[in-house]
Amino acid sequence: MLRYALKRILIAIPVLFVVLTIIFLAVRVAPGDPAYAVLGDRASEAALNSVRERMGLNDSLPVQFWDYLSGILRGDLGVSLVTGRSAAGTIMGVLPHTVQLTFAAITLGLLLGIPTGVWAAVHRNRWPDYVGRVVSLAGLSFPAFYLAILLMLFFAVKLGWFPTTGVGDFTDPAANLRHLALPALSLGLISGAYVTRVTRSVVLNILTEDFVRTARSKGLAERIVLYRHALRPGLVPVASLVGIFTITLLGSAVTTEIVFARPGLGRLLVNATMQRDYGLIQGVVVVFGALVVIVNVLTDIIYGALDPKVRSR
Amino acid sequence: MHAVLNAKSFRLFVMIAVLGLLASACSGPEDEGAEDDQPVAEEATPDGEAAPADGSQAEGEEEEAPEVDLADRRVLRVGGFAADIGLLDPQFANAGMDRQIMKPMFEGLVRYIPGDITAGFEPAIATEVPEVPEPNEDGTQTWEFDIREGVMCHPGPNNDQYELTAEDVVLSYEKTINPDTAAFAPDYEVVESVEAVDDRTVAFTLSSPRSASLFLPLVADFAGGYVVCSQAVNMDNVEEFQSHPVGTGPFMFSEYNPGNNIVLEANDDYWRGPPRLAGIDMSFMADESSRTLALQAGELDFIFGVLEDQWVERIDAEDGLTAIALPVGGLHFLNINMAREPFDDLRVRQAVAYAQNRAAHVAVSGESVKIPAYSIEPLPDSRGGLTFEEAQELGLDYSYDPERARELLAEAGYPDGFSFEVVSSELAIYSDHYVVLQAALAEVGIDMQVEVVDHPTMHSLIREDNNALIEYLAPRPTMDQLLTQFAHSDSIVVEGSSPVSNFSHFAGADDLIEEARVETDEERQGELWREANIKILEEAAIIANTHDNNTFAWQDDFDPGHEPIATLESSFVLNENTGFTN
Repeated sequence: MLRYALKRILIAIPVLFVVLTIIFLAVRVAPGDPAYAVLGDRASEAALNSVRERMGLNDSLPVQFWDYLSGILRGDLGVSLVTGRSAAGTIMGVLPHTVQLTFAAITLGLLLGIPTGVWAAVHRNRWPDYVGRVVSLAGLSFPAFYLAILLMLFFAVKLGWFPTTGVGDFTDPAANLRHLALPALSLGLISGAYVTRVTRSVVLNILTEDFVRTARSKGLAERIVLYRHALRPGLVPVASLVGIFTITLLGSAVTTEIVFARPGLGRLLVNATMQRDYGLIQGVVVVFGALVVIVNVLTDIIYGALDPKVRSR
Repeated sequence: MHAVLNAKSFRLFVMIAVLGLLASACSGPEDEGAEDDQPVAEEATPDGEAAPADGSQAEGEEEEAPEVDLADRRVLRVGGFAADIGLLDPQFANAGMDRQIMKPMFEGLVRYIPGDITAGFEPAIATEVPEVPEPNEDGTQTWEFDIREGVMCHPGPNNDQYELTAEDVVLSYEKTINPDTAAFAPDYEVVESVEAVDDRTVAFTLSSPRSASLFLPLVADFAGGYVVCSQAVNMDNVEEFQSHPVGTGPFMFSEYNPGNNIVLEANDDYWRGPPRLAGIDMSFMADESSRTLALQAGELDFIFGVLEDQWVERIDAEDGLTAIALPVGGLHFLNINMAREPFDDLRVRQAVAYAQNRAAHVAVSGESVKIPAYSIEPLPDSRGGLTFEEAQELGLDYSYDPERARELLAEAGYPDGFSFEVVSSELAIYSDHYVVLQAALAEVGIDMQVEVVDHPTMHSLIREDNNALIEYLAPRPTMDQLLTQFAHSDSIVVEGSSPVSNFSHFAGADDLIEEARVETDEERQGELWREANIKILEEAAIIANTHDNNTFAWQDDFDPGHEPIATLESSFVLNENTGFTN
């Protein structure tokens, strides 16, 4: 297993290098200028050029790329060109909130999605199945930002149970969880809808497999057939889905972060892109790449734990 | 809305008066000493209308500050409109949110009358607003300021609290005029030197004379005019200062959480007296719905609003909330590229001018948010600008007249119109204008294809002379800045000697703009600006469209501490007098 994990990490390094190269070139090819973000729209071309010089943007692309890569190899993610602050410090300021939100949303998604999916599959073409399918379809159809605003209106403005926006301090767990509740719920409901549909479909297939029929013919209780024999292999594709969903959420929870005014990696990346803040964009991409590797390795480990065939390959 | 505001202002006035009486009844000899230090202001308005130095403001200055119960103050919770801020350096604060958060921390030598930039300046770090000095024999001009005693620099990571001297002021403006350490250096090219005459006197030598309306904004509480504390600034390493800014304002930096919020705390040693607020906590909330909901839920005390009449009316009608639209010095105007066919033909430019429909632009956001404009000017009715009646009398109002536009196009050889492409920012403040213009031009046969790009891309492309027509929103504090940046030949994009934002390629009023810049007689200066505006309109190079106001909302117990009438560049004054009524 360890060897398997190490292999996955080593494969990720060239992938990360390619991604970094693409991002490095893409942000520079796009029109826009970080010097403009620093000086504003009244700056003269001479003043802009002076700032570009200071930022090292007048150096040739290979020189800039080498500076960037050598920095990363030294563990230095560089600085934000617009704010002058360390990219690592800025990212670390928001990363815990992103990880917390992603983890909470996925957990909620699994807690909602797996039982609902199983329940729907077991009651195929009966009302629990119809309810599960309709609700999950509604969840898939809802844009995250719209669901977020509806939740805010009802639970925060009308009932006053949760705060509308912001993040609570980690040193105050109660406040922190209250701030987390609505954003996690809005993403959790949507991820729960995905998990429900996948779980339902997988469990439906498994329930028709020979080994399930054998288990039933041995006279095992339906509950044991379901939970001991059908669900474990059924969770393998769900684990893949969760892995992919985690990666997606890490970067694309941006609309939820904006609506709930939560700091986060996605929001940081969008903002840096709008300002053409090459330094920060590159820093976020490195961290994001590292997170993708970690999530993939974890997914593979879980995958292996659920399905022994994977480990033996 | 105004009725609400006026009633509140009246209550505030009564409260201040009662507290003032109580404070004066309780005052001892120390307060008398402080009164001696109060300046008698001579005022000058930012666009030069000499405000009557009849002592009215001086009376205001002498009014005792309300007594503040330090133990019972609250932190003001603000919902800001940006996703984050840039450098924590007042002299790099070029974005609206950055300026908003710098203002409570820093001061200039003088300050705009809080809440009303049209009312002139009052003393701040300087003990008085100086009169316009006569030019020196060599053609230069020297402005001297006496530095107030008792102005304390906030304590910072590298300095204890200390009293500000001329040395700090000199360093501040040396930083401002240096393009490596400030974003506003181009505005200060006229400053030849800043010197400390003694510990309490600073002299600015200008290469050519400036009127009060052009010089005082350079040393006021805005943009490059802020004074920083020298012990906190290492000129060889300003980055350190930018992580913990140190000034002399009523609030001092406390903490910054990237992408989340910035917190300021009260400076109880502020020379005007302790602030009424315990601090300011500004959250970065780019989504306007979230700001509104958080205000409605009572989690915020003050927010930057949505640029719509209906939003203002809806929020203002809610119990416990107040919303206003406030002029913030933003002019929307259409730049027509005279160097690009077929717009190099005056008749085509005039046709575009007659085709555009100001009423339709106003209708997009509503009459409280957009006000029709007829010439380049920082605020409605600015000196040197043209009112509708004045423009109409000259035949240069370019009121909506599609029939006339079609005739002009036919005369120019385009009876069936023509097609061209432009890029617009994705931001609604730009794209809305392009959409309205697109419809208006289509009515006269001109097909304008609009490609929507992200905001930085638009700024980049239009500076490469990409667009034939450019809708632009420019908040600028002075007429000179508007005319210099958008209508002087030096500023022509790509081709100018110092390219900035002259997108129209207009070069027909350089002499007037330059003459007005050094004219110290403000009446004459206004005439020169007016003449420049007329030339621009005669050439149909830049067609003013609307003055854009900003909207704000707050809980009813929020008290601005001033009457909001007109402010600078999207900002709202939050100062030592801002507080709560309960």
